[in-house]
Amino acid sequence: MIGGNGCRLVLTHTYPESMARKDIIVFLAGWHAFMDIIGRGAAGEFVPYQDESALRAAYLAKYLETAS
Amino acid sequence: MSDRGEMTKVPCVTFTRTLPGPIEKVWAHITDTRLLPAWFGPDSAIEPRQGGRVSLMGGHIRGMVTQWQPPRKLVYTWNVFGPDDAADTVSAYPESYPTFELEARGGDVVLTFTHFPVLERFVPQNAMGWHTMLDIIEAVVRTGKSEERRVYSQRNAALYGVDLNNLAR
Repeated sequence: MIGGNGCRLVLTHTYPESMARKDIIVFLAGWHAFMDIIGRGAAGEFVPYQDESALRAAYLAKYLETAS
Repeated sequence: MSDRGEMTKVPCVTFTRTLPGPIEKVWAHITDTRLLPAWFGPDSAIEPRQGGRVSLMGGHIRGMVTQWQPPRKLVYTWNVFGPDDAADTVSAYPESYPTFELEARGGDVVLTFTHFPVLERFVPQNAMGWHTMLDIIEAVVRTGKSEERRVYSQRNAALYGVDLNNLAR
């Protein structure tokens, strides 16, 4: 608990080393999208699916360009 | 603190062993704790089903079977507890996942074992411990018996540079 009625959510999802980074990035973007909306969802708002393509592109740029 | 996700690497301990078959025999030795008292101790059990309860080493390790695919794959959750921890205690350590995969190759069985995530400070003794368990499995599968656990532990402690009198906590 971090004051008031809020709380800190720490999400960790572990994958084996054998899993391709580009596949992990798909989930990374998905969890990012989830984390972006969970506060609104927890407040009772229905949040429709959010397009994750921009997030995927950003994470691909960050992690695949630095992987080589 | 950033809203961005981060991709980090965590240690994974991996072994591959080739053992004599049949595969059902090796499967029995990784799932039926009565066959490995030298490793798990007498107060240990793995409920043989998906979702089954896992309690090893007198409750020092507790978890749940997440993949039960006899005789090919076993995965369970691994949570470490102290001897005085109550049943509803939350482990002070991250949950991790031992995975046993078996593949029949001719008359042999290839056992691939992974355990992750492993905290950095526990890597040597984690590897030492599983190495010891696999040594016991190999001895029992090959000869029907094994030496006492301490024989393998002492040898493997030297192999991984682990001080058995000063283990990481």
